[in-house]
Amino acid sequence: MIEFYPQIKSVHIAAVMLSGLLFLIRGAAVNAGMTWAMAAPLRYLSYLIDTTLLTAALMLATVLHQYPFVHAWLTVKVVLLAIYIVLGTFALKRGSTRKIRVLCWLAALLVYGFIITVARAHHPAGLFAAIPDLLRTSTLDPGQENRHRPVVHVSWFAATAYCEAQGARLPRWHEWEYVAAASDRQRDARNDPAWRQQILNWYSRSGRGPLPDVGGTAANAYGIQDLHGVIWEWVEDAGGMLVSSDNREQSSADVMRFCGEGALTLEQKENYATLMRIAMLSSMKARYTSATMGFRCASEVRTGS
Amino acid sequence: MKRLLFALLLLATVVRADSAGSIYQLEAALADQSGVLRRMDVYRGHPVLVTMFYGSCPMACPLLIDTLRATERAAPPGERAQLRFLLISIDPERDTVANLNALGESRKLDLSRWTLARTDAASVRKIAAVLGIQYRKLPEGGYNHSSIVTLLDANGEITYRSSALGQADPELLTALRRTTQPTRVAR
Repeated sequence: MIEFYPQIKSVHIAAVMLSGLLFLIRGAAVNAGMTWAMAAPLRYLSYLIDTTLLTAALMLATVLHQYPFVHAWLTVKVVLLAIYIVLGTFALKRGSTRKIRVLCWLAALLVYGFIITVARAHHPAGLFAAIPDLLRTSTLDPGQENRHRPVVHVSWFAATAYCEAQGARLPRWHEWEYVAAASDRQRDARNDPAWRQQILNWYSRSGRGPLPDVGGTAANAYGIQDLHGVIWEWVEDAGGMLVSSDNREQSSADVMRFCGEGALTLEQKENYATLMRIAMLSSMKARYTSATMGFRCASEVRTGS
Repeated sequence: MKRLLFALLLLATVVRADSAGSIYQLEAALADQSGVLRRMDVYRGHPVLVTMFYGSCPMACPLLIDTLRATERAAPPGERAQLRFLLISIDPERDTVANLNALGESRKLDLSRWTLARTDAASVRKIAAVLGIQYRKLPEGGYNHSSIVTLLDANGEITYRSSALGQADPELLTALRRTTQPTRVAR
């Protein structure tokens, strides 16, 4: 059904507009004393529009996997819809005096407008959702002092979802290491003791204290920055770090635990920094977050036209 | 307006939400051994043993199916009738629908209660991450992967993880008993 999402959404929005417009007209007409506003054809038209509206809403909820009483903005919509309906019945027929009817009509229109802002923002506070941002109390707001620092405290799931939303993915472990093996001059600097030492110096620094800003380190031979010296980074296949937690014998793969050959064997043991990164990644479960672990996204290079 | 209220009430009751820890929140599209598109919640409402495997695996994966079967046999009849099995391939390239179907037939699996499924590579990684299964593709085409059997309750919450291979894990059976008791009430 997901492939029809845009169409269903259009139907839903069109029904919302028609429903609101019809209510606006009928409310105005009733309060101007015109009897045609409550005539049977108009009432049935209203039922038809509202049924279409709710059917589309149900379909959208299923497609999006977002449900009232689970997702706050939809809960708010449903509750406000109930209030809107009650106000609507008072505006059109239940209101005992004209003053009550007009007030209910105006209040219902206000509620209607607010529901639309809730729907557009996907936020329970609707158009007021921006206020916490203005006051900078949102937990997602990094604050001025962190504006240029890397984003940390993200799980592998969150990092993956972010990259997917950008039409990209997390880099794979070997891709990351391949690019990270470059110094500012050489593409493969793994045999350069000075370069290795420079990286180990970073690893030997305490993780406490503020993180450095993004873009503060020199670009390597590929023009990529911040691979070393800023944070640890998630990779797409972080779940593939098959290093047993208690496997002191490199060669004895536990064939009963691992289907296939065995765990990673490391050929360049002098490259201690790589070992540290493997240790870090293999100690992290996908749902874990850390104050020093972030991510970068990667995508395939499109060559030619 | 009464009809509108009624429709609203319907909206509130018809929609069903996944509990916070349910792996059924994962939006992965699976294809089963008949090529039918499924979601993670193929067996919602049942206790499910879920694991990941690859069809061309020589060693631990046949053993994995044997382990699931042993668990099935060891479960008391009432629990056995409710129990379902979901095996998701980590090798979508080679485990085509036809291959999964052939595997199901050669292993004589009761496909009304067993599902062999494949999905896209990105979903494989997410499902593996959710189930705590590690895997890595080997240069010659096989995979290293941890053999973990996860027991899900009727709503897709992880109840127990077992890495015992070859025989029915007694603790897994205990967890299954705990899971099946309240589900009759909950559903």
